[in-house]
Amino acid sequence: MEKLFGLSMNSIAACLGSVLIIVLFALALVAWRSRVMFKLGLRPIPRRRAQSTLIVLGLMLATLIITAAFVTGDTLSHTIRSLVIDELGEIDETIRLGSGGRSYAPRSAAETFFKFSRYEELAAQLSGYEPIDAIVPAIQESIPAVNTTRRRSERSLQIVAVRPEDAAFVGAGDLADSTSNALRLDDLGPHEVYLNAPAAESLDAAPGDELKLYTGPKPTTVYIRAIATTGENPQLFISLKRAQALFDQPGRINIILISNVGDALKGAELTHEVTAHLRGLLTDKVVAAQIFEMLNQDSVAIDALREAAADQRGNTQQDLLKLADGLASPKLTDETRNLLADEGLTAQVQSILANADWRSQAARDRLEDLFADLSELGVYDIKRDNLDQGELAASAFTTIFVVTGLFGIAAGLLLIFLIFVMLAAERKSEMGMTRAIGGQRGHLVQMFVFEGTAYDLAAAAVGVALGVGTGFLVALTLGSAFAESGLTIRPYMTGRSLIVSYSLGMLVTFATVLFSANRVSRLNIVAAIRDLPEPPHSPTHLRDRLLAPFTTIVEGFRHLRRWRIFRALWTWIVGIPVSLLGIVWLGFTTGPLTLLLGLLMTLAGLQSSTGATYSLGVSFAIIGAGLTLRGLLALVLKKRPGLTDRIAFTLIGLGLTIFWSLPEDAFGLTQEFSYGAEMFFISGILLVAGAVMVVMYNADLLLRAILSLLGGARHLAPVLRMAIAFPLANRFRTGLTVGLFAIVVFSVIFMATMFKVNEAYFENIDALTGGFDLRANTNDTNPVPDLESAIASSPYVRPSDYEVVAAESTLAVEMRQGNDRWKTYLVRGVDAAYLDNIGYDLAIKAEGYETAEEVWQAVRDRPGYAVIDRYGVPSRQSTSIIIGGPEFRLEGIYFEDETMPPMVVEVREPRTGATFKVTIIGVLATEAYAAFNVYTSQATLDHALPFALSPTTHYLRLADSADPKSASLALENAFLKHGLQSTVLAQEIKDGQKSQRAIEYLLQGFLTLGLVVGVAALGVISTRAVVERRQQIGMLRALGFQREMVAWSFMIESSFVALLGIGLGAALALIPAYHMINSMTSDLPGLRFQVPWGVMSIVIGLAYGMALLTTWLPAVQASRVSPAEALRYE
Amino acid sequence: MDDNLIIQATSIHKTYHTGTVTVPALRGIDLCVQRGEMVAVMGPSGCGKTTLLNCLSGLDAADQGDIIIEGVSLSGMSDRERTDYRARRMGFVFQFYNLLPVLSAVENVELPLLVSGARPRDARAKALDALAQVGLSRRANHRPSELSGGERQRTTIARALVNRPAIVWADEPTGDLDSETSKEIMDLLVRLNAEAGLTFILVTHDKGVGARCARIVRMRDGLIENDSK
Repeated sequence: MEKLFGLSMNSIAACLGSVLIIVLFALALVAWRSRVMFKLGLRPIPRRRAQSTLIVLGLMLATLIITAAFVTGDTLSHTIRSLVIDELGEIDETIRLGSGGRSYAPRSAAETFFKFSRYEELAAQLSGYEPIDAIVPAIQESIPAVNTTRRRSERSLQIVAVRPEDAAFVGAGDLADSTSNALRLDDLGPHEVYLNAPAAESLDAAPGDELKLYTGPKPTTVYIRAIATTGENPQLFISLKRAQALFDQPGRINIILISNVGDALKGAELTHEVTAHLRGLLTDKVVAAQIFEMLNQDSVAIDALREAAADQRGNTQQDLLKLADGLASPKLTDETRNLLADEGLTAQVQSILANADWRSQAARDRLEDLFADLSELGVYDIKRDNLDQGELAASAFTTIFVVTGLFGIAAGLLLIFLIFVMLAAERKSEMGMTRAIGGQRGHLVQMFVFEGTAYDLAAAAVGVALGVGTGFLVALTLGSAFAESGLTIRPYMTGRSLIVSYSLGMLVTFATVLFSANRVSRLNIVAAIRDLPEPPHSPTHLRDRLLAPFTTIVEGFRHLRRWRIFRALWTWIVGIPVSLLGIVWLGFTTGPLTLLLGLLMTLAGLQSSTGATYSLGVSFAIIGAGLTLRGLLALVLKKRPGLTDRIAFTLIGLGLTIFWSLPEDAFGLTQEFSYGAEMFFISGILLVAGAVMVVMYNADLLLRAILSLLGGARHLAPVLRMAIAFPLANRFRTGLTVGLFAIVVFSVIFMATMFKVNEAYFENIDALTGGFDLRANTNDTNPVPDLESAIASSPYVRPSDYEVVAAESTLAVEMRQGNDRWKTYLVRGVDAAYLDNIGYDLAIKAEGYETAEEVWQAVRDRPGYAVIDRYGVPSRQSTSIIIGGPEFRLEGIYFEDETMPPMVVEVREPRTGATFKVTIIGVLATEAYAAFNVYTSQATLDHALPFALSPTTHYLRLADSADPKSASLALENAFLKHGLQSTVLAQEIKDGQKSQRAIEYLLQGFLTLGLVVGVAALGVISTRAVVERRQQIGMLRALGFQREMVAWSFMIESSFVALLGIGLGAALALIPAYHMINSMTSDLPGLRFQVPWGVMSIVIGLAYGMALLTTWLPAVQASRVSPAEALRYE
Repeated sequence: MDDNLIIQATSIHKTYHTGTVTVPALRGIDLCVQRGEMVAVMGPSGCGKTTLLNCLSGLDAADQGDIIIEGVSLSGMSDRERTDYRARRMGFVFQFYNLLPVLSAVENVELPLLVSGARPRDARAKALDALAQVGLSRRANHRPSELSGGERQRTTIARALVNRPAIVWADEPTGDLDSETSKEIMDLLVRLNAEAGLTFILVTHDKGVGARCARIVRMRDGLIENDSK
């Protein structure tokens, strides 16, 4: 994986690695200077091995999650890269006729072939050009094929034809069969071909079988000589001469294959340079000059390009700036010409000019025509392109896992803090003594930091090791999820990812250790030594903070008076900003600045309609208001600080819980906010934090209720009394642990609830398929003109099985709205049978249409009317990740809108230039099994296009009595010569669901890792409690507590904390899930909220079981405390 | 056995093994205590006073010898039986109060009753009575951290008395108190001894405390050196 969040992994690794080295070096330096503190810091580690082990396990989770996410990304990246390499071998670029990248148009052979002499010219021009080590003429074309021997067909069999001497560039290495015998193209007889293994599997073919190849209406018969092991997609290999004859294109080819120097992967690194050079050679210089003349020294165009470049990064930014500079100079240079020949760049340039309203529409159209004419042959960096798409996919997956793992990481960081609080409590008197005999606070911080770093180093190593294992497990699960699609996942990891994981895990943990050490080292010396509660901060503390800048200035002058100039300067330069920061921090911690920040963010969020800013703003405002109230109440209720905190934090908690529990429209807001994936994490954390605050500050009321319910049982009363009193006495510690459990369980249950909705969503197959049962695809060259009639007259099928036969044609087009540039999309021309029977609902209907049926009828009856799929419309909730695909998006509406005006879109057929308009009056609902399609009537296309467009896809609804699988096979058998391939739609959806379910389980499993943290927290607290309460346990035993009563009180105490956290998390998770599902039902009426009882039971049972298991040992240890020894222990 | 004898200990030995060091804490103690006596056990640090108290009260098991409390031999009891016996028949007052900091005064006092199986409502009523006896009715709902030193010790005494024990064992009951508070506590103990006829065994360094007791047992090096009334 090369990039994460847009940053290069190499840069991330270098940066993090450097920071880690600096931090460790700085620590080593401090350790060398404070050797005593270093030894004191490390001393406890070997003495408390069980505790140390528990701490390491707790600390390693963040690193584990990060590592697993990166290993998953590396695996996907490597898998896709391997696939690309296997598929393309040494081929780095290709040259084809026309700007094929602008449309998805299937074209006839005549439109894709060019003269062989073009290759010879280019080869001559490139001789001596060092970055290229081979240039190969070839024919590559996908055609339908039928294995007449075994009656199997393949819609898209790629013919790969090269000269025998160029065979090494076909696939990875030379052609060979399964016994490694070389397969030479010039060994083939006049009617013989080689097939590769995927083709053989698809056609169920073996050597000797007869194939019919449909390069036109009349097939060509060939025989399979051998099966080659190369390639991932179905391919057929013949010599170039044979292919020219096959396609009736003597002396012509349709592709030139380019290989760069270096191996299959290294060659791709030269793509940018090679592509620019090739484009320069292939560009029509006259046309280039014309384009240059239009744009030369045009300040509007040049400024627009420079402005756009500021928002870009990397190569795109560089290219835009270079182009702007090139257009500003008086002469057309080679570099500028090469840039003008870059289709991707010029597509962007045209968008930029359209947005800047450059000149007139006519001028922009003229420019577009010139760009289209700039080169007859287009250069395609296919390998680089595919590798980049693969990287994007890998990066997207890693992002998903990292975001999903954020809950676990957050829980892990909380655990680190909790551990240090516990360690500090354990060593309170020791720390007090250290301070009493002259140790500075900084020495205490050093001790903790040294100890924490030692744990950190071990934990990060353990985390990386386990993370690698987890990552491989994830990869294997993904592999099984995608097994049926033919994708073979290849587990992989890079040293770079390990460095990033280890460094990031270490640094994140280290930062938390540093923060925790700083916090826990603040203590009152006497209170620490005597093990008394910390006294509250005196008012002078606040006064001192506010006056600190002034006292710092005075102190500086004092130093100056004593001629300590450097000290004076240091005091002023460092001390004043630090004291000012202290005041600012005070402003935040006491509330006013937090409130102000919250209000500002809320306003900003409302203005920009950004959900995250608005929601966080309101949350900060609630927290700030609560803290401010706390300060004010403290003045009034001086003698009751407990009550002050209870009121303030209960109100904060209630505020946060209510805000994050209610739907947006509960607050009367009508505007639509845009949300990203991060909202899942933010909303979860704040909702849980709010609820935990409310519960912990009012836990005594809750417990009184429990005691009154259960405390009447005589023998339970003393045990229950103790089990409940201890967690209540240490609210912070208990609250942290409850929060840990709640966060993790929240994330798992929320995800499970949403996944359950997915299951319900997929239950309604008709909504997904539009009411059709089969999809039949035929090939372009030999379609079935009238399938309905053909079925009626075919002896191989039972016509009564097929109730409805609807036809659909496909046309790759360019579309634009208003003055925008042309962008690619797909149009489907559907017949009346389709429009009368399609059951797809619509998410948005144009004004004046009440139902989806009315819209479909309008499309049928009024030529030019159309419906677009949901991906053609932007969405405010940008959680979808779409990689690749057509460019067009309808502007002026969002998928979340209730209605729309009819919207006119211009459509252009790229080959003929035929242009027509469609009026879009609806947007397909989410469940429609369609992507990147505009549906209009076949009549609309027949009227608009200068050629006949035959339907190549048919949708069939079967009679109730018909078996889908049998009916599907019968169809394929009946129309074998047309290469008809039939798919049972319900099965296709189910197969897709299987993969999705595997990924869902994976994500849930990933989230459940966080439970380890909660359990570790309980384990740490319980172990610590045995030590802390040793004397109290002795007294309880003296008073008559039996051993098992002591053990039970520990177990019940842990149960209370664990169940409170688990229950809170589970209950809270259902709230946002409910609202989210409710908001989705407007688009997906069939959706309904369902509690995932199964998953909930498993998660709750697992969490509680693990919690009990962790507490059992400390409970047994506590029960074995000897009263006599404990009561001696001070 | 004399019916009035509440404690009869014969030839009590107790040795501690800490790593490679063996410490004979009690080397053959014989002790009898009459019902209603107030006995002070005194001696230098390390003489075995607390060990003796632990063994006699059943908090710890003696290695050798026989301990009979109210005619019941502790020596043959299992840990469960000793614990049960403590819950019903013993009260404890220690130097560092040993009140549970997470419970209020009344909750601390009622705990032994709850352990003995009393109904929570009854336990609460008796606990409040006990606190009243020691003059702490108004402080019943305060946590130990909110009580003064003397109040904490009085709470401990109330807890020790609430289940009407046969014997109250006190290890340095005034060790952490100032002289005035110590006097108050001793006045309370003496009053309780006189009014209720409770048997008290006090381990103490304080001569003033010893002087208030009817009998002083002096120990040295794990043996009784002197036993005077």
